Amino acid sequence: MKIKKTAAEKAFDIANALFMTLLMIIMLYPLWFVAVASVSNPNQFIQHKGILLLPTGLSGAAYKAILDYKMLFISYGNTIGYVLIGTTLNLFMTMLGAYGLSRRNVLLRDPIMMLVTFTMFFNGGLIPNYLLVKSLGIYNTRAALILPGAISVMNLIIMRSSFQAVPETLEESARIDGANDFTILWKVILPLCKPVMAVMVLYYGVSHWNAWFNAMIYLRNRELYPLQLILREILISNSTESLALGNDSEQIAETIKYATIMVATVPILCVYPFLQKYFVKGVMVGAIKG
Amino acid sequence: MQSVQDRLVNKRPPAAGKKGWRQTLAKDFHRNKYIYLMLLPVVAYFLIFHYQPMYGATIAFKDFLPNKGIMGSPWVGLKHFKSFFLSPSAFQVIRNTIVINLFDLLFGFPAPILLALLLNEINASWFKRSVQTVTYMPHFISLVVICGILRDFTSMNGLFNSLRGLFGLDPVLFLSESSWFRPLYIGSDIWQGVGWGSIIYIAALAGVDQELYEAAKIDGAGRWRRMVSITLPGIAPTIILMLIMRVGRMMSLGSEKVLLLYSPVIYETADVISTFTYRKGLLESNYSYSAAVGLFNSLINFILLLTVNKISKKVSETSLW
Amino acid sequence: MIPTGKFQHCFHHKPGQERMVDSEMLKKRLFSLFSLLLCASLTAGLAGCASGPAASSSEESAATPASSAASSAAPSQQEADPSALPLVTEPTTLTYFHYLDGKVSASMSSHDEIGCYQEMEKRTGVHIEWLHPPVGQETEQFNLMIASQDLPDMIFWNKWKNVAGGVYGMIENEIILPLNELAEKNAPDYLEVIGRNDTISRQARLDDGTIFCFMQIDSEGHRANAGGIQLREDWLEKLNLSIPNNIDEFEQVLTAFKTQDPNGNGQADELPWAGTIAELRNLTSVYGVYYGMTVQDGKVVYGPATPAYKDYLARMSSWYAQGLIDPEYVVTDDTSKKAKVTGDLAGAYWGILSADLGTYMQAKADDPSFKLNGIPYLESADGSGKRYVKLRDYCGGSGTAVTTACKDPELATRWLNYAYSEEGHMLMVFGIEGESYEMVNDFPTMTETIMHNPDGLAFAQALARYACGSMSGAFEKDQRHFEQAISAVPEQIECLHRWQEGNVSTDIFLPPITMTADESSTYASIMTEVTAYADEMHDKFIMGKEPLDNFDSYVEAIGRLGIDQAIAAQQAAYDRYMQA
Repeated sequence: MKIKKTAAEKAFDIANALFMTLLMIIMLYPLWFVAVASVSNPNQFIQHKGILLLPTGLSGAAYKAILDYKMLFISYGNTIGYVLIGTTLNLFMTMLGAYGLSRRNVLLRDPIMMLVTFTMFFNGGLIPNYLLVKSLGIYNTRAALILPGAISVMNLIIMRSSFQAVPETLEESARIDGANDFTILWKVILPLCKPVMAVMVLYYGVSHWNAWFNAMIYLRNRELYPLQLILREILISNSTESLALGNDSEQIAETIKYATIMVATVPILCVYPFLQKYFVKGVMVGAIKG
Repeated sequence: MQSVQDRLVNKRPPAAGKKGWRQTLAKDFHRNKYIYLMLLPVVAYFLIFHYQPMYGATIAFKDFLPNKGIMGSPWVGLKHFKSFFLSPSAFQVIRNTIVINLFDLLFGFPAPILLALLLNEINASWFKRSVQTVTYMPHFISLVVICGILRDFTSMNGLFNSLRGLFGLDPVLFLSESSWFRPLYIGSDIWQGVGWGSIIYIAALAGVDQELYEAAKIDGAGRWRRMVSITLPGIAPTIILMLIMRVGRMMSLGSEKVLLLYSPVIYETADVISTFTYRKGLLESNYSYSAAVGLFNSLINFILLLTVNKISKKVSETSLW
Repeated sequence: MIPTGKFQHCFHHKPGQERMVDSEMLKKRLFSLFSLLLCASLTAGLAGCASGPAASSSEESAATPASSAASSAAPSQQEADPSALPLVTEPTTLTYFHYLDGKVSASMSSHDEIGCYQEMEKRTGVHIEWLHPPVGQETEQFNLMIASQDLPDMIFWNKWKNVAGGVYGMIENEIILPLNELAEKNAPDYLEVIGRNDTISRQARLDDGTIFCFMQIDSEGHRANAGGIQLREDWLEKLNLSIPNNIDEFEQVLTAFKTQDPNGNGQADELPWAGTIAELRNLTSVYGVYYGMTVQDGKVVYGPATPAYKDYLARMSSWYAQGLIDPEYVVTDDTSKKAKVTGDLAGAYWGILSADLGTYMQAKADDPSFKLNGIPYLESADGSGKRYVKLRDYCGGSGTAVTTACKDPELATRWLNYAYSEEGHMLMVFGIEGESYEMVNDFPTMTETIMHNPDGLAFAQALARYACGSMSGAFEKDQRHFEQAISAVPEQIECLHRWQEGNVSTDIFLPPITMTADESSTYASIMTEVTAYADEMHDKFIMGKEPLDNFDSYVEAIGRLGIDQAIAAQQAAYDRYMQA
């Protein structure tokens, strides 16, 4: 049975739709601006005042300049490596921890859980951590960006909750069939927890993609830099000096920034809509405790 | 939470004593050998990467001398804590940390809830999906890029001032005005996080029993009524859980975004505890002082989390552990 | 931040890098400099004709490290000659922490790729393993390195005088080695260079005579290149204005820039004064104080707490209110400054020769009407008729120390010494003969590859592939390099010339003093608070957010932070320096 909408409700619908449209514009315009600016003629762009809707003249100079900047691409490759290897290790370690800590009848479970959660509040601070990385011999290596953050306690708790939510009977029947814990984890738990795994991939992946602070502290070799550190040089420290080699490139300093943002951002923006269907499932499972 | 002792008591007669302890453990190890095998690397990781550096926190009570190392440096008691609390910066950084967090709680926290509620009212699924896709997007832009864009937009000839110009307002140099730092910080946080944050509430909304809505409609309840009586109570547990988690990480407000945005001109509002420790430690090589401030921060954080967790356990029976 | 060839940074470092030069000496030096510059402009005009400079001045030949090859080649010594090449019989590696100049990081990732260091390895047999901190993270990495005691054999650093605990502390805490004995034995060429005159000798050592590092020694022209006011000379001409001599005249020029539309686009969008906060603060010298510890009548005072500083603030806030100062000055950096100057918006600014004037002129090479030039330092408002200018010190505090972790300090000192020998000097400054320079009539003349690079690289960038002449390092700078470096843009020579006009004085600036470990820690803990507060108030006063009536309470607040103790520490160090 259909209830007719009142006039007030219709008005609300329209207002709501308008508001959502406005919201989309607010979300999209900055990127549109960046995209447009990156292909604009640099000289006209600097003089431009007011809202920019279309490029001020067309110029590929900024893209040409960054394509010549090999560090950008080296670091791009590095970041992809850090994301892939780092996330794999994260998943593996978190999975092991979450499984062990979600089992009942394990005597040392709670003490270990205490040991783990305590690290959420206290850490040794920058210098001791730095000394540790040095003494392990992973300073200035890729491992320095991957190992120290192998497990995020928050993510461990989320994954553990979802493992706990798997009905015990499934585990029991598998055990009767002679399965050991590795098999149970692999064959019983994981297939049922795919959404949370997807979300973990996302959480860990995004954090590796974003990371720059540890790289700044632990890396000395530029060849190992992740993308974000190079972006920081260009966008925050404003050192387009590294890019603007020839003399005529002075004016494109500004548009170079935009082109860099495009190159660094567009690929990931093309990928995420395809992962979108996992978000809702996974986030939900992850956040509500079993 | 059951302590190990309780479990033992439950399983064994009290008379078992020390020997019983060991036997029980040995038996447990044997029975759960695969589980312990799995936990081994995890425990090793935490011991090496988290517990080993913790002894380094003792430099807060020492005068750290590089050539003497952490162990060999002389003890100085609470010297560094005293000098922190006596310095004019202490009040400023503590206040800023708290104020930014409160603002975020006040504006940043409700924003995704609001978005989820409004999205829930949209019937056209294609429109709903587009709004979702678009609002998730900023989550995938890295912090460095967000701050880069923000710096650019807030410059004298940047986009924000162009917009102000349309309304006949004088240009403002946003990132050098201490009064603008908080709005920019919170605003950009919302811009980046509102869509992503709303996912969980959308999921919770989907879990609300649809029959309740039908029944309410038949009873003639309007939209507003339905939202207040059905929707909100339906997602309340999620809201509370998210709130706990948010409050729990209040004091650990990341320094990264502030580091990327601030400058000495706006320390008045922008300098927070974590950036302060960063500067003291790494730029002024005042390691012990920096460690003392960091320890103070950890302590507050610890108390905050325990309190929030306790309250929530009582109020809503949800807790972090 | 590490200055990448921008010397005005030194200008607002904590005092301790300045020196006193009595005006007589200065005049003499400037005179000889002037004659050099004339020659340099000649060289620019008639490329290749270089007989002039070689004969031009006695200073000049003195500025070149005297040849020690002859003496060290003499086999009369009992011990083996420490500088005989190669330095080692079998391949040896030393580790060397050295920050990367922007000119290097632009296209290279390590000093390994620079011609002079490659050649140096061939000659000495010593392989250097370079440790370069990330660009922009130099200070953090330096501090972490010290804190973790993970020391390389050698460390090049540009702020030795400002390290936590001071240089004395670094030696007491066994981080770096005192080098006197080692240098005596292994570094005859370095000792000769720093023994050339009393000032160098004093600046290259601590108060008690300790040699703690192999200093970068600056040449005369280089020292004068400390920065000054530059402006759009074509705008001056267009508006029929003459070169301003004092702050009032300068204000008239700026006002004209603002109101008379010199860029001719019909809008009053000119920014009469542009540049960074630090650059603006250099104008305090017009009021007879330095922004930091400064000298008044033999006493150390804190500049930003003096009445003269209040006068400066009053003037600046009125400029700001009239729109004479770029409203964006608090967030301006080198890149945006460059955009404003080359975008026909900026009228005047504080700049240095190559990195500002030279770069901008080259960027606008296709615009014949665009002309920048320096103006003489403004006459001080204190009525003395002096024009205060801070020259760079001979030893600005950059240099290479040998650490306590060094495997072979003897070898390290011998290797470092090589850069100060005749051959090593030529290699470090000019690069490889036949590639980056040719000897033409005894004058090391840069090749076309450097002067007019086929890839369009500027002089300094082109040279960076072969040598360190335009960068920092443990060697002695060379007048002959400097002349050629600035000759590409004739305005640079004119500018330098203008900066030497009038009654130039360095009276108000502190010499490069060194504090003891105690003084240093007292000073540092007080000054971080004081500087942060003064920096914040500087802009509040200028932007009118804090009325100038509150200046007295501001001075009181600085007093409460303990400024007197910090001044006392500096005074003690200053007294020691003057007595040394």
